Order: sequence, then C-alpha cells, then structure tokens
Amino acid sequence: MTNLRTGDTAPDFTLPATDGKTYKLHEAFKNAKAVVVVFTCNHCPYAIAWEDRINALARDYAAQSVRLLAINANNASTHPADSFENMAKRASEKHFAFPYLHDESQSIARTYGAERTPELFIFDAAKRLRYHGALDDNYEDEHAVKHQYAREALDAILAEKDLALPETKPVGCSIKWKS
Amino acid sequence: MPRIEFFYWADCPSHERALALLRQVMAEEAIQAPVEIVEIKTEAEAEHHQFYGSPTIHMNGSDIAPLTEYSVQPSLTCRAYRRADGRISPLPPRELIVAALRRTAAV
Repeated sequence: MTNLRTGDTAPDFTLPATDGKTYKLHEAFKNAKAVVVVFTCNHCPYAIAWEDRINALARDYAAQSVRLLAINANNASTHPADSFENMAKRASEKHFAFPYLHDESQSIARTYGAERTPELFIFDAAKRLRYHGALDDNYEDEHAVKHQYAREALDAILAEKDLALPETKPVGCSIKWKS
Repeated sequence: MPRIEFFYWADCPSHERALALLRQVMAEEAIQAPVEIVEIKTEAEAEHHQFYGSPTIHMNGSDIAPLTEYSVQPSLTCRAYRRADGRISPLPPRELIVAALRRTAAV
C-alpha cells in the first residue's frame, strides 16, 4: 500500500542517475506540466515487459512538458541484475529517454510506499499526486491494451480535467528490500 | 505417468495464470497426471528445488524452460521467460509447455 494519497505533495529526492548526473525531483518540476515517477528495475519480467512502453511514454509526452524519472531501489546484493553498473548498461542498450536513478538506500521507495516494479506515481505541475498504479492493463501484449491508464491520466492533467481513474493496482515484482 | 511439479512464490502475481495455462495445455494434450503444487517460501527452498523464479515447472525432474540472463540463480523472485518473438514475459510460453509435455509423454 502506497504511503501517498491522491492530492498529496510529491516527496522530494536527490538521486544519482546512470548518466552520471544527480537529479533533484523539485528541479524536474521546473516548467513541467506533469512529472511521472516510476519505480522499476532491470530483472523483473513485468518491468521488462513494460520497459519499451515506459520509454515511449517519456518520448511521446516530452514535447508536452511531461518529465519522467525512473527509480531502481532493488537490493543488488540479492539481485545482481539491478546493480548500478547493470542499470547503466540497460539504460544505454535501450536508449532510455528518461533518467534512470538509483535509490541504493531504498529510502525514497520507502517514503513513497512503493511496493512493485513497475509502479507509477504521476504528479501535476503543483506537485500533487494525481495518479498511482500501473502503466496500462496488459503487461503481456501492448496491442491488446484496453486502458492506457498513464496516458489517460496525463491527457487529463494536461487538459486540466479530473481523472476518471486516479488509482489502479500496480502489477509486477515486489521491490527487493534489504533485510 | 509424467511427474509434474509446479513451484511458485506467492509474492509474484503470475502463478495463478501460469497454473491455469499448464492445466489447459495438459487438457488439450490429453495428459492426465497430477500436478504437485509447491509453494516456495525461503531462499533455502529455492536453492533446494532449483527454483529460478516464480513460476517454475519441472517435468520428470527437469525444468521445462531454458534460463535467461535474468534468471541466473535460484531465488525468491518472478521468473523471466523468453517468448518465441524474443520478448520477456512473466508467464511460461504455451509452446514451451506443449513441447515439454510431449517430450515427457514420449518417454
């Protein structure tokens, strides 16, 4: 269960990314109409299945001043595929259109109450949480998707309308916590 | 009669659909055999059963699927399967189950 509720303010964070930069969430909001924070990872088959669609989301909405930040908080000692080095490889191989951030201490994932990979939090320009949940309703087949939850949320935010569906159940692997 | 074992970790959401798929394919292939369903709860159990993520299916003691680069060690995690088109899925591909059942039945 996430710690955030619709309308809550985005908890700020500062995290290193695979591109060598350090990202602060509050800076992502500058001139942004919405910010998407995605908890994801390298090893999870759900995250991999949705990976290209997350990338497409970032690309498709960038021109509309939507920013996307992805965070990997998994314990790399039990899941080596999620090491920072492997994150950098993945970001390079897949040409991620977004910064891929490392939450090594897992403190940001805990603050947000994220539990799954992938799990999305979408905030409006006022930093209020407007959508939490899955990217869409079909991890297996993007061509069989009936509800584009994240895109519908972003379209509503950009049109300054209420969201029809502000919350869905995230589907994916559990975040691998350090004991 | 083939020995079919279905190993799962409850924290990974794909096991119910995977088990339903296994049973469906078994029915289509007219294979009547019990499916032993084993819940994996610890890393030690994962190691013991060579459980490379949930779900893992063994037929006559052998894993039905090749490992991918995402499933390199027994672990409490979701298993990544590679589909025929190269994409990764949390569900074992139907054709892998069919092939394994036919191999097993032919023995």
